[in-house]
Amino acid sequence: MTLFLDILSWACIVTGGVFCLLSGIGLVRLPDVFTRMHAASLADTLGAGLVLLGLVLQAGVGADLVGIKLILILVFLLFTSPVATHALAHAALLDGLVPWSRDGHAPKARLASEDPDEDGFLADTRDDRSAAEAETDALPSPVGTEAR
Amino acid sequence: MITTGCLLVLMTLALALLRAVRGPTVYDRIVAVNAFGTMTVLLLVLLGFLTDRPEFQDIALLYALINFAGTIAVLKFVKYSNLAGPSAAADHRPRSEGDRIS
Repeated sequence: MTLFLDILSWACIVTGGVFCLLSGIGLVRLPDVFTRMHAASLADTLGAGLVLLGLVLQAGVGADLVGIKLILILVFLLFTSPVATHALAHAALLDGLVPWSRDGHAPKARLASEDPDEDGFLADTRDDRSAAEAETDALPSPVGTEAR
Repeated sequence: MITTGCLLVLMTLALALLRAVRGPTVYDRIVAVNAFGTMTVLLLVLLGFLTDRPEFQDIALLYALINFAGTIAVLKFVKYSNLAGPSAAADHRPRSEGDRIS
């Protein structure tokens, strides 16, 4: 039984490490921010998941808190990495980066960013930005918080 | 076997660092730094098992928390040139108009 658990944990750790390495190769070789984000999320889900699962199999969920801490790390990574990736993609799209495509034309399907009425956050951000730019043009007036 | 995992994670760290140095836009660098942080968490956990020090798991847990908060903070700083958001930037402008980046 111990041998079986060792072999299983070894397979999990090495497979997770290989997924991490694939994600690193994708991070270097892919052409665009969004595709690189796709590669980086591979390490966040499969790489970290398999490595931590292998280590949990090593430690066991016992009296010492090692296994529970590993599971906590895994759960926390699974919650935070999609949030960070979504915020990154949103910021990159809002900044005007065009997603890469093979034929050089931008893809027709965009996010809701082109229609501010359907996305309240985007509408607010654009209002804030235009208010800030209008203020930069007219520097001496200290009032300008009507965008809030 | 844990050494093998450590070596694979270290190679990923080197690749992410390469992307963070070469990245053309600032978002490339943020993606690379985020991946670097995740790999650091994995390396800390693996090193804790390799050197038989269970307290490394606490450091890894803390590092995962800080990595997320740091990514969001850097994104917010890139977006607004200010950690407090757009309206606070408007409040600060009459005093320090020369300090603004964008």
